Order: sequence, then C-alpha cells, then structure tokens
Amino acid sequence: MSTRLPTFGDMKAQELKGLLLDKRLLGGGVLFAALALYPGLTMNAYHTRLLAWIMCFAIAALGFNIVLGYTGLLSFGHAAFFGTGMYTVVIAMESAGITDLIVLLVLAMLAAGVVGAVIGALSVKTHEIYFALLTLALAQLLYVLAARDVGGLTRGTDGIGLSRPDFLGIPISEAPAHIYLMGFYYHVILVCLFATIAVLWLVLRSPFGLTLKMIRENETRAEMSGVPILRYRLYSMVLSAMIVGLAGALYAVVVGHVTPEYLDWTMSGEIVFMALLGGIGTFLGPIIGASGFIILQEVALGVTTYWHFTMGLVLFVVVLTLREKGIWGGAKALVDDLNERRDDS
Amino acid sequence: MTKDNSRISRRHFLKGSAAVTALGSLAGCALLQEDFGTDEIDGIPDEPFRIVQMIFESGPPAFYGEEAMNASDMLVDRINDEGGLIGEREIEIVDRLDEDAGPDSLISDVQAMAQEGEVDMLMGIVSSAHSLAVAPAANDQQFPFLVTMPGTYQLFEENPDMEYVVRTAGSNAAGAVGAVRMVEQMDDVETVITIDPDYAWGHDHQEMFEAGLEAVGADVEIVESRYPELGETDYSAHVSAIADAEPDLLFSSLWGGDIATFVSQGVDGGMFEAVDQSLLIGDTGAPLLSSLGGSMPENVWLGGRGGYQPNYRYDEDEAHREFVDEYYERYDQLPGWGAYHEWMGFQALQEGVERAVSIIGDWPTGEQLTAAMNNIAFESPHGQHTMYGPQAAAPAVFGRPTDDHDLPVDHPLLGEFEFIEAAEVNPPEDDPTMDWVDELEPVTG
Repeated sequence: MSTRLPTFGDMKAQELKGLLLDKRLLGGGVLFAALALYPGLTMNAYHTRLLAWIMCFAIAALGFNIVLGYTGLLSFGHAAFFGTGMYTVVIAMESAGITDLIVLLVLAMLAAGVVGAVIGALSVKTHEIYFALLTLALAQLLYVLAARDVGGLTRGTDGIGLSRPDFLGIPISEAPAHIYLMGFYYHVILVCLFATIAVLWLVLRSPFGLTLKMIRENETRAEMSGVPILRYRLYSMVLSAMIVGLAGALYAVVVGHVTPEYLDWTMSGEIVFMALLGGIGTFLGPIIGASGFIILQEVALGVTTYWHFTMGLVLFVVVLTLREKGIWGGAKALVDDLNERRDDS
Repeated sequence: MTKDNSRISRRHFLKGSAAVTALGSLAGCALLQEDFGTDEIDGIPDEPFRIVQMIFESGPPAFYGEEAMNASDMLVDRINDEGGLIGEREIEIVDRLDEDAGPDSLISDVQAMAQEGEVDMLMGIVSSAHSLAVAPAANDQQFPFLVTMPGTYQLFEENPDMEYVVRTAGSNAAGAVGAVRMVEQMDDVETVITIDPDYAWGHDHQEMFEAGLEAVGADVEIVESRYPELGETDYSAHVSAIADAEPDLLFSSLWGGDIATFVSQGVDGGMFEAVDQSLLIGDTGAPLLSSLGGSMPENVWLGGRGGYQPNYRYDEDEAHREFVDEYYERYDQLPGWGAYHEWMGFQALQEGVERAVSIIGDWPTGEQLTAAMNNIAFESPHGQHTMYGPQAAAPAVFGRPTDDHDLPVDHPLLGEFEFIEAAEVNPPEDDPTMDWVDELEPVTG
C-alpha cells in the first residue's frame, strides 16, 4: 500500500489555478490574515491570550481527530502526548539549558511521537472500550511518574515554572510578557495551527489518509484488501501524538507552569470533549470544538458558579441532537439544507 | 466566653516576643506610628478599592474556600464601617473566581483584569500549585496579588524577584519543622509512621519532617510512610496497617475532609488506641473537632502553621476575641483556617496602605502597595504576624483536644497549647528551605 502524498509537481496548471481560487483556501487566507493582524490592531492582550489558548487546543483536537475521526479509535490517553510535549519543553529548558523555541518544539514532537509509538504498540490490537481503557491506563502511568516526581525532574504536583524561549538566537525572551505574547509567540502558534491544518489536509487526503478511513469504515474489508491494519493504526497514533505533543509544547509557554494535571485523564477527557463538541466526523470540527469549549468555559465561569453543570448540559444537548457531526457538522448540514430548500423553491 | 484555658510555653513565647519586637523595628514599624492626616493625602481614588478573590467555590477544597469567603465578607463590612482603608477608601469584592477552573482559566483572568484596569488587587488562592502558576503571571502583568492561603515554600524560592506578590500565609515549613520541635520535646518516641496526601503538600511535609528529625539528631526511626490519594474515602487499609504496627507516634499532614475521614475511620478501627500519640498538622483544629464531635481521641496534637484556633489566646487578645465572636454571631460556627488566613490578608492590606500613604503622602500604586506589605508585622492570634520580606513567617502552634473551654459549641476545642516561635520553624530570609531543614539545629535550653 502506497503512502505517497500529493505534491504540487503532479498538478497541472489548471488544477493549481483551481486550488488557488478555492473558496476554502481563500477563506483560510483571509482568516489567517485577520488573526495575524488582530493583536496589533486591537492591542488586547487578554483576547490575544485567549486566542493563543484556543489555537493550542485546536491543534491538539485536530491531532486527536486523526485517531478518533479518521481511524475510528477512541483514545482516552491523549493527555499523555499533550503533557509529554509540555514536560519536554520545561525539562529541556531547565535541565539541558536549551532555549531555542524551534529546537524545543522539535524535541517535544519527537518525544511525544516516541510515547505515541509505545502506547500505540501496546494498544492498537484492542478495540473500542478496551482501546479506550488501555490508552487511559498507560497515560495514567505517565501521570503517576510526574506526580511522584520520579527522577526528580517534575517537582511533583506543584509542577515546574518555565521561562520564555528565544528564537533563532534572538534574545526575544527579554521582551516584556505582553510584547512577547502579542508581538511574537501568538504568531508562532498561529503559523503552527495553519501549518498543522495544511499538513493534515494533505495527509488525510493522501492514500494514507484514505486507508485510515477505510479501516474506520470496515476493518475486515480493509484487512481482506491486504491493508496492514495494525501498522496503519500505529502510524496514526504516532502522527496524532506528535501533533498533540506540538500543541502541548506551544501551550507550555503560554501557561508558564507545567503540572501533572496536563497528563491526567481529565485532560484527555477535555480533548475528547472538544472533538465531540466540534464534530469528529469533520476536518475542521475539532477547531470549532476547541474554540467552543474554551469560550463556553470562560463565559460559564463568568456568569454562574454552576459552570460544570452548564458545560455538561451543553455537551449533552450537542451529542444528543447533532451526534458525531457536532457544532461544525451541524452547521454545515443546516446550510446545505437551506440551500436545497432555496433551490427547490 | 471569658475563660481561656490555653497554656503557652513560657520560654517559647518570651523568645518569640523578643524576636518579633526586633523584627518589627527592622520592618519599619516606626513609620506606622506616624500621625498622618488624611486631609493631606492626594489622589485617593473616588471608587472603592476593588478586589477579586480567587478561591475554590466548587470541588473538595470548597469548604476551605467557604470559610475564606465568609471571613472576607465580614472583614470588608467591618473595614467599610470604619470608612474603609485608612478610613477613606472602602473595599469592594467585585468578583470571585473559582479555582476549580484550573490554571489555564485563572491565568487568562489575570491577564484580563490587568488589561482592563478595573481591579486593584487579586487576593486569595488555596492551591499551592495554582499559586505557583498564577503568581508569576500576575507579576508579569504588574498586577498586585496578595496570596493568602497556600503554604508551598517554593513560591518565592522559584520566583525570587516578584515585586507584585506577597504572601500572608505561613510556609508549610512551619508545620513540618514545628512537628520536629514537638518530637524533640517528647519522651519515649522511637518509632514513627507518617501518612500524608499523595501530592506536593504531603510529600513536602513528610520530607521536611524526616530531614528535620535527622538533622536535629532525634533518636527516632520513621518505620513507614504512607501516601493515600487526595480525596480518599476509604482509609481502612491504612488504619489497619498503622494499628498493627503500633508506632509510638503518628505524623500526618492530611487536611480538610481527608483528615476528618481518616481520624473518624481511625477511631472506629481502634488505631488511636494502638498509637501512643499523634501529630496531625494539616491545618487542623476547630473544623476537625466540630466534624468529629465527642469521638475525637485525646492523645493527639492538632495545629500547624499559626495559632489559628478560636480559643487560643482568646481572653488575652481582644482583636482575636472580637474576630471569633463576630464570626460566630454571623455564621453560627467558629472560624477555621481559611477564615484566619483571610484575616491576616486583610490586616496586611490595611497595614500596607497605611504604611505606603505615610511614606509617600499619596495613594500608592500597585507596586508601592505590595512593597509596603513587605517586612511589616501586625496583630494575630499568635502575637505579631511578621512578614520576612514578601512572605509571612508563622510560628507553629499545637494543642490537645479538651472539653474544658467556654466557647458556645458542644464539641472539644484545643488546650495545653504549645507555641514554637517563627524563627525556630522558618528559614532566615533568602535561605532555601530544604537546605535550612537539612542543617536544622536542635533546640537547646
């Protein structure tokens, strides 16, 4: 089975022109420009931070959706990859003295990929609830290691604070906190988010991505077709882990303090919540889910002390009414429905 | 409510008083004696002094948060009845943020508050881990943060240059090293079992207690250390194991609902009959005694980092008596540790504003206010509550349960108090806590 990716070299000029005029691509470009300009135009540090927070978890939810939405595996252990990304950054800075952001992000992705390979190798043979429980249990092992401060690296449940990384030798960490975030780090996260979207868009539409979907839809048929199912599941776990690890690494700098809570099953639950809220059956749904989850939490916290209940209620209603389509899938279905009615009339 | 049956170790109390007097002088207390007329003060803002509290409103630690919120409401009313800060500017708690939302949300909120500029001070926080995440963020935003409850010694050791953060809660060193000082005075203690919650609070206490015992050369052996989960509901296995081992001393930093559950199951399992005595130092006192009622064993020492017991120096200290009486009258219960921690916080705020205004003759900026709260001392149930730099150094106070008290509750309170001065249970300013504990000197004389 080929895992060849589509390249621009394969495209005819007409196809390239069509791609450039694609509404989605244009929309993406406009959104990128709007988001990139937002901090400078508004000078609103709170909104910038909120957007940075949302974008980090959007990357995490996108990565998680590779396993759930495309491979059909419900993992309750993705906090392991998110937390690994965070701890890799802070430990590399504290213990190894590495301060360059690019190096830290690459290290975090590699470390998360290794953890993804190990957890994947131990769990991809199982299905459904057994897969969910096995990933949860394996991830909890990492949580316990961090909480117990094994090896003296994590400082237990109090966690570790981290300073701001530099970028390509430029001592940008010396800038005041809000300048660092609004003038530099926010844009790094934005670029990472759009790069993740682009890479996943290509990967999931490549023969590799189509094979994952085939496994999700009918595992037996895929196996009979000669697809090495376990190997492909493992690939999807590693890819997913690396992207979630990148999200964790980016977020570590935003939050500035890393605790074992980011490795806990409740964090896995939040990532699942985001994906479900946005829609696991859609490509962009997880981004909408992450945005919806964080904004909902912030709004609910501001208006009621029963914010846990409010969030639970929203998830209940979304899952009950929209099922796997989530908010994004539901919105798309609504637009299609309205278009059909308009055409009929 | 007239008779106080507390007994303070005279030696310790006198030494403590002397030390505090000296520190108070160094702290610039003379400035506080200056007579400043508010007519000459410029720039007192028209709006109230706006505080946002960060506190557990939901989740297991919410009981601690509830006490803190009760005390805050009461103290704000009391201060405002007298005209507000320096009698001129009222206080308003404009919002409360639920710590259960986690550090992500809390840090975002700090950013929003700093940006909007409609809040003068952030106050509160229960969780040590949250304080370690939020305090540097607040400092980055140049947003004054008065940390009132967490005890982690790492707060200022990890972030030594914070200019906008002060902490009025005593460090967890006071409780753990206080327990070491207690063991030094105990006879016939050779074997110890420790049981602490399985997170940083518990591990820090156990490590400091063990290291401190070794440093002072106590002839005791910690035969077993147990770490139940935070929020554990079934301690039966721990109770059976401890009862079977029959140690001379049981040490624990379990707190809140955990210590109440553990002690209750320990009583049912006969554990306290098998153990000679216990040191339960996780901010224990009136709330635990209230929940246990008459079943509280007598062979225990309760207490921790401060004299936060309603009947401790109740008769001698008028301010404490008023605080307890007012709280009881308002909420029909005695104040617990959360309430006392907030009281210390509001006292630091009042003293800090007075000090800053007396120096600069103007209403202070956030930086000036937090600087003015450094190195001050103010009244508390355990005498002067002293800030070593930006954080308090609390004494350790322990007592034994007794029914012999005159407060209007039908459960035991503490008596036979032991006071161990702050200088004996806290490192000198700028000394790393664990290094200091490793070199702890035995108490002599």
